[in-house]
Amino acid sequence: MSLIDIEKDTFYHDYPVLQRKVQDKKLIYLDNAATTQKPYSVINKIAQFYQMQNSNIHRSAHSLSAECTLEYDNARSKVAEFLGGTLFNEIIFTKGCTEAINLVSFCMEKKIQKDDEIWISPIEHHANILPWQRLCKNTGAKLKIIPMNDQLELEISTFEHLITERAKLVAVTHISNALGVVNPVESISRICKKVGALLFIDGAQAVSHTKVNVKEINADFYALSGHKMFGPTGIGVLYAKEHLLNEFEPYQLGGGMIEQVTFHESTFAPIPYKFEAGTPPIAGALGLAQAIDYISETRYDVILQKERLLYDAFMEMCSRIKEIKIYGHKNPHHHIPVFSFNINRIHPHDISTIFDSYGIAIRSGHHCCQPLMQILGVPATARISFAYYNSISDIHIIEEAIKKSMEIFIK
Amino acid sequence: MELESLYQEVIMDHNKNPRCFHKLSEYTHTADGFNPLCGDKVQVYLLIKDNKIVDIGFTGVGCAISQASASMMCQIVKNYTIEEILELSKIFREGLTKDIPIDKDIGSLEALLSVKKFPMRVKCATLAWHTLENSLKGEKHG
Ligand SMILES: Cc1ncc(COP(=O)(O)O)c(C=O)c1O
Repeated sequence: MSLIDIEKDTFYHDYPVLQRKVQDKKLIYLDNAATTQKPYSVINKIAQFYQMQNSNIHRSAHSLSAECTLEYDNARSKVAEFLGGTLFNEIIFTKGCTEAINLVSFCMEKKIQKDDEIWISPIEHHANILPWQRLCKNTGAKLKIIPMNDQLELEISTFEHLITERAKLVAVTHISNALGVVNPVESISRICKKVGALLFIDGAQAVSHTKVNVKEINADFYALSGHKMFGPTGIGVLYAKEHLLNEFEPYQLGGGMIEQVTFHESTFAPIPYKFEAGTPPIAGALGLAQAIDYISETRYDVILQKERLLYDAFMEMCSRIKEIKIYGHKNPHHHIPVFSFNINRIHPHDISTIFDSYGIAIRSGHHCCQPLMQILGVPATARISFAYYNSISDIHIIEEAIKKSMEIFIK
Repeated sequence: MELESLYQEVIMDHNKNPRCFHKLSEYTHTADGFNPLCGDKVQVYLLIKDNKIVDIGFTGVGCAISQASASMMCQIVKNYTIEEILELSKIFREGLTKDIPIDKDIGSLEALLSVKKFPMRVKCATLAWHTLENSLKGEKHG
C-alpha cells in the first residue's frame, strides 16, 4: 500500500458489503464507530475455520484440536505483538471491550476501599462508566470526573492538581466514540504514576485509527473490541500487566481455567487461561488475528493519511454550511474523523432517515454517552464516523443529504 | 419519493406547530413515554369525566415523527370515550406494524401510515399512543 493507493481511493474494494446498495443507492457506510466492516480476508478466514478446522481447543489429542489450539495461541501472540510487544500471558480474550472492562472492575473490588477514588472522564461510553459506578457503590469509593474545557477536551493540568493519592484507578477512553477526540493518554499515564493510580484505557475506538503501544503509554490495562477494527463480533481483548493478572481472582469459573478440581477445592490454571473460562470464541480470535494482518498490510501511516484527507474534506464542506454545528473539533490534530453534529434544530433521528434515503448510514442518538449529551445540552446528536476505506467522493453525497434535510425542515 | 411521503406537509405542520402542546392544569390521568434508543420523550395529560376525554395535552422532545404523532393524537381523541380511544389506538398501531389493510376511517392519522415504510421509525410514531394507553392504566388522581 502506498500514497498511490490513497489517490486511487479504492480501499473499499476489499470489503464485500461496501459493494452493495441500500435504497437503490451505493451504500455509504459512515457508522464505523459502531462497528467497522470486514474485509474479504477476515470473512474467508472465519469461513475456512468452520469449513476445515472447527474443533475445541486445549481439550483433545486429535489433530484438528491440535491445529486449532496452535492457531488460537498464535492469535494471542499476534495481539501481544500488535499492542507493542506485551507478554503472551498479558493478553486475555474476552467477548468484547465491555466484558474486558467488567472483568477488571470485578477483580478490582478486592483492592478498593471506602473513600478511595476512581476517576473517569466525562466523555466515556456507558461501558466505561457503569462498571466503575457499581465498583464505587459496592466499596464506598468515590467516582470522580476529570474536568473538560469548553473545547470539549480534557483539562489535564487541572486534573493533575485535583488528583491525589486517594486515586486508585483512572479509566479513560483513548479516543471518544462520540466526539472523535484523542485523549492525551501519555500525560494521563504520567499523572497516574505520580499518585500511584492504575490506568485503564478503553481502546475500543483507537485501534482502527492509530498504532497503539501499551508499553510506551505504560497503561496497566487496555481493552479493545475486534469488531471495531475490521474483525468479527464476539471477540475482544484485555491487556493487563502480568503481576496484576496474577494477583486477581478469576472472573468466571468453568472449564479451561482449572488445574485440579475436586468437589471441595480447585486450583486454577496460570494466566492467561485463568481468565478464560469456558470455550472461548475461537473463530473470533482467528478472525481478529487476520484483521491484525490486514491492518499491517494496509499500514497505519496509509490509514492515517487517508483519514486526514477525509477529515479536511469533510470540515471544508461543513464550513460552507452555517446551519451545521459540530461538537468539539477545535483542534483538528487532536481528533480523528468522527463527528457529532446537529443541523439547526432538526432532530438527529430525522437527519438519519434522510441520510439513509441517500444510502448513507449514520448513527443518531446518545451514542451510549448520556452524561456527555447532558453536558452538550442536547438529547441526541447525529454522528458521522469515517473509516479509512470511505471515499473522498462520498463527501459530495453527504453534502446533498445535508441540503435535503434543510430543504425539508427549514423552509 | 418515499421521503416526501414521510415528511408530508400535514406531519411537518404538526411538528412545527404542535397542537395541545401543554401540560393541563387539571388532569385525571398522566404517563411518561420514553424511547431509550433515541431519546424521544412524551408526557400526556388527560382530563377524563364520565368516561370521556374532556381535555388532553402533551409535552415532549423528540424527532418530527414522534412529536407530530403526539400532536395529531391529541387533536383526534378529544371527546372520545376510553373504549373508542383504545380501539383507535389498536387500529393505528396495527396499521403500522401488520400487513393488513385498515378498513376503518382513521382520519388524519392516515398520513402517519407512511411511516410503515421506515421500520426504524415505527416506534417514533407509536410512542404517544403507548403513553396514552399507559396513562389510562395508571392511577387516577388530580
Ligand atoms: C469508546 C467505547 N468503549 C466501549 C465500547 C463497547 O464496545 P463493545 O460494545 O464492543 O463491547 C464502545 C462501543 O461502542 C466504545 O465506542
